[in-house]
Amino acid sequence: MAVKKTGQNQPHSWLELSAINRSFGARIHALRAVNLRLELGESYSIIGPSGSGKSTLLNIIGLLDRPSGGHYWLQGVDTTQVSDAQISRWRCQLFGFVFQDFHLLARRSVIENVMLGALYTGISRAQRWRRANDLIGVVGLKGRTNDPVGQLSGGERQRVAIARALINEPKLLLCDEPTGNLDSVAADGITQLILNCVSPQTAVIIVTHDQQLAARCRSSWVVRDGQVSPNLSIMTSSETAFTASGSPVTPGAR
Amino acid sequence: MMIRHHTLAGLPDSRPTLPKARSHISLGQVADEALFTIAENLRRAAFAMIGVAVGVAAILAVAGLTASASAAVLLGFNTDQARRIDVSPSSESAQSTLILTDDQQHSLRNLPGVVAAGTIDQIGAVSISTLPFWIDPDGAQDTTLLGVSSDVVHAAGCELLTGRWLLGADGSHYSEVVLGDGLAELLGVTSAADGRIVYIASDPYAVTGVVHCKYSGINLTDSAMILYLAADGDRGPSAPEHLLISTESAWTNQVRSAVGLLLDPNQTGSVQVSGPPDYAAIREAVAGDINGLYLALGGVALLVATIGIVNTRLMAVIERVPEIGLRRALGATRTAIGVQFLLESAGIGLVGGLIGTAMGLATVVLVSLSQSWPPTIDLRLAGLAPLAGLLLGSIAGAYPAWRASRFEPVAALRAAG
Ligand SMILES: Nc1ncnc2c1ncn2[C@@H]1O[C@H](COP(=O)(O)OP(=O)(O)OP(=O)(O)O)[C@@H](O)[C@H]1O
Ligand SMILES: [Mg+2]
Repeated sequence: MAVKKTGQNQPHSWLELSAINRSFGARIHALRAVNLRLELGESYSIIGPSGSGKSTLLNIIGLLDRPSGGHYWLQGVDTTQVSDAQISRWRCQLFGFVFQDFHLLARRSVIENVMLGALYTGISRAQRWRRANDLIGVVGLKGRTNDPVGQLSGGERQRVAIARALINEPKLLLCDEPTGNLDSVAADGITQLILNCVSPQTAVIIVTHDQQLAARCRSSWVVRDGQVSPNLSIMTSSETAFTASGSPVTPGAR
Repeated sequence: MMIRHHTLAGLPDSRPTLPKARSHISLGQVADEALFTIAENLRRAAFAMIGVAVGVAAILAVAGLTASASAAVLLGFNTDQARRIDVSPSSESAQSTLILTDDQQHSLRNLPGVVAAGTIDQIGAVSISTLPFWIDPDGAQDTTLLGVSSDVVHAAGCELLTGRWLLGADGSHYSEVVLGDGLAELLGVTSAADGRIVYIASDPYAVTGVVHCKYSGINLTDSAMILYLAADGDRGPSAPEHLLISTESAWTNQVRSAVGLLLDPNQTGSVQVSGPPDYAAIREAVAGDINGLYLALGGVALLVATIGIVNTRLMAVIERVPEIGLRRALGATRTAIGVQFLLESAGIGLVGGLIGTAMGLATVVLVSLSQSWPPTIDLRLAGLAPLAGLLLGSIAGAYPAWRASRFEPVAALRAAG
């Protein structure tokens, strides 16, 4: 049974990590006492040196991995108390993943790969096909719908992956170095595509080594040695952008 | 317009709540996906399919060939023999028993199921030739002269190759002879139409016909047969060695016991009544022989197929670890992964079973035809064979499927390397 968060005056955030630890064996502490809040409609970046724990953090947020200690509240429900089957279902109902190395099924066509994203929600094949077809247009691969993904360039493959991640209309799009394998031109297009996904009902988190990319997100965190802190420099630029325009800014539109 | 959520003091209560466990992939959709994946990885699946196919084909082939061979063995017993009762005296002194009284003959003929009854008496060894002894002293052959009753032609399952059978008591029967086909060939008598004469112990006889007989209790093939009536005086009293009774197949056993009572009412044991061989026992013996082989071969084939499919399925799991990770990331539960892999194995087993059934049936037909056995197969077995493949695939796929379901999403995704 999910446990409701109690003794809280403030309404809970959409997602909240509190004192999260993740260790591998006795010696590797990939995350230490991480506290973090996340709201829909936002864009977040996570930067930090290699091996600092960025991917581990993203995997825990995306319910791909489970913390060794601490609490992870999702809309006020403590996910650490929830069954693996329920967690699996939330993965497709709430999250979309974009990986550095795409993770496409090489033998399948573009549309089959996108459709796979909604396989486990149980919607009909026809419905999946329709949604996938629409999304292929959105990510700009209209002419490639039935091509095997093996024939696509890296940038095009990442577009397929993004379409797949969006097919269930996720609340949160999690991207782990989505442009890590791409040249700067392709990277730019992908970044734009991802940031365009931010909507009042959708948030985006991007793990990146690219300071400029990180700066394009509304908020930013730095991970060092398994500890998370706000990325002040980028926060500042974000705040500046916000105050300078004088009105709310949709990050994707920047 | 968009609002910065994290600056809000209070969030509206209308926020969406977490989705409940309701909608999720159905078994049918997992099956679809499994089928799709088999088609996609057909070359890998082919190895496992061939394994199952060979196992199923081997079992079907052995079972089918066993049945076909038994059928051939049963066909080999000629049906004529299967319906004949052979009565002989159990001792010299009892020989006269087979000389039937009119009453006995009448009773015998009227027993239900009796088709024909006839006696055979081995008169003795004689020489036979186509020319009189004084013309060609070296042309004589040794043969056995048999005195037969006229019904023997039916009771002994004889077929006239040429001419006619010995006529009854029309006065000319003393000088007529019918030759067994072996003896006729030896003498060069191929046609009886022109009334060939042979000399038996220097007496001339007219050959009326040549017969081929199925009865093998006495060598009829190389014998000369003359009518020998019980009342014949000049050759001494007839003492038949065999009374042959051919019956309708359903009555053989009843006739057999009735004849025993008829000829030996006091059960003195003076006659020996032998019936056809016990076919059930023979069939059992044949089946028993091949059953051992069947079990051994089938067992080995099954074991090899199982090991084969476990092996290829485990390899498939290892090869597809990143795919498993991806599916988990896309919301697959452990169960969904496990069931998909299990269904893939079951599907491979079913296809293998179907191929194996075709192979097995083809083997049975081809081998049987080449051995001139009647191809015989239990249709229920042929119907069950594809299902056996499915079962084999499921059993062999269970452990690999369980392994596949155990991968943690992150670890599996990392395996992409
Ligand atoms: N499954 C694991 N077993 C053991 N150690 C692990 C495992 N996963 C991560 N680690 C360790 O945890 C630490 C954080 O790893 P993580 O992948 O989160 O780093 P990262 O910040 O994403 O690095 P990079 O920028 O290179 O991707 C590393 O020291 C790594 O070796
Ligand atoms: Mg990483």
